[in-house]
Amino acid sequence: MERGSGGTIAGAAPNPCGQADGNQLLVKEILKNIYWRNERVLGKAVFAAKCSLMVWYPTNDWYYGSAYVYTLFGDPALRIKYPINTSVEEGKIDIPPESFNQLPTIVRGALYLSSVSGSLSVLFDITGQKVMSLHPGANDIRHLAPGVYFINKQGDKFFQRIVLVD
Amino acid sequence: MKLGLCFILITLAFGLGQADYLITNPDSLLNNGCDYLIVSYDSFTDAVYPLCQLRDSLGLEVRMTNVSLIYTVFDSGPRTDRIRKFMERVYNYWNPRPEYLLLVGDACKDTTLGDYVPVRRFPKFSYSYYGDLQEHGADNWYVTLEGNDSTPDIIVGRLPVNSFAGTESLVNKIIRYETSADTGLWTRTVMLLASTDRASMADEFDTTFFRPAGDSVYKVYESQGSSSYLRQKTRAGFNQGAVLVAQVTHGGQPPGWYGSRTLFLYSDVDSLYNLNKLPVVLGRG
Repeated sequence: MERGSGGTIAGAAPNPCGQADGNQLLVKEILKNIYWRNERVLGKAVFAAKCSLMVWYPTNDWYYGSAYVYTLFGDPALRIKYPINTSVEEGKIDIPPESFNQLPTIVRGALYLSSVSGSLSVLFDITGQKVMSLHPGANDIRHLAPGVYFINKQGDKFFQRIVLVD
Repeated sequence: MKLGLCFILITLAFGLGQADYLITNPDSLLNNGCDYLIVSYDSFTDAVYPLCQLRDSLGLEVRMTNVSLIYTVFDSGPRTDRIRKFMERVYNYWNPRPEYLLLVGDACKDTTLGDYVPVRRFPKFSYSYYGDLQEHGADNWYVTLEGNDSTPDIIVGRLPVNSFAGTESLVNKIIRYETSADTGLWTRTVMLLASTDRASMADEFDTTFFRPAGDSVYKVYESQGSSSYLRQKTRAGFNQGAVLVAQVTHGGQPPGWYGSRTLFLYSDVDSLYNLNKLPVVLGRG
């Protein structure tokens, strides 16, 4: 990386080693973030993949361990030069069926997110279409039509159901 | 696009002064706020300012601190614990909390040899480690700050640099990479390296992601030839340019990528001249 005339711009790898199946799943998730979700910030693509494995396998260290030791060597805000894939329908996902059964949170006017993780959260409509990226603090949603929406933190399986009212 | 690039270049030339980024007193270390936080080994700090200006120009609020100030303010325990206490302070009191943490300086188990920004070491997980290692280092620990899980709460990366000149070189590469408007063929080329026992895993990446996207895939598979042939082919792949390198091999000693044969050695880096075609390497390990 330090070599001025060439080499690499960044690298990500288990330090010192992960488990084979965990590594495979982890790199697949990173590639999904880049290829299918058009994530171009390297740190976000790696971060979301690590979070996914840790959330999916909280007690199996072959998976969460591989994610834990996976280290990003490079600038986490680096924008990868891979072109945006215009064939991807921006932000369209499948909302998990169980998300529709939750008791909803009623929201009016503004949506408040308290955690820094809010910067990685996205609001989806009932069809799974991305509506907007969210940030910590107050998010102005007065321009949205009343109805059912879902908040999802990137890399998290959980979708929080909200009902937006006038 | 061109206007955006001009804006970045103008901001880089006339952006905030260095003093605006660097935290120099304990109170500012305890109470502050930013989007992008840099913790740097003291002697490398001056080489990082251009990166501060780049991130600033792209809309991120940037703060940087030397590790020595952290050690002064949080003055008890091992150095890793002090950095961790600082990050707990940042997470709980800074407003806004940073979204990114960049560590500038390599870490080394031997504290007399290149241990600039240390990493906490932990006992190994239940699976086998290469060379029967019994522990691992994890930057992740610095950013697991909320709840009882291992999930990171800040996006962390590390520039594993070992000198001022190395820091300057890598920072310049990052700036060149991000400000270049180059959209050449290399930005749609992926280099895929695979040991024989992991060829099917590499094929899965190829058929799931690379080929459906229409990328050009440059394959270096162990089955293709001798070690010297494979190393030459890997070097050629780097030099012709790739946006991603997916390394689906084993690591090993001397540092390199292996199957039963050798696909790449650390010493091969001296033969890389891909100046403006720098890949991100995803290690499958």
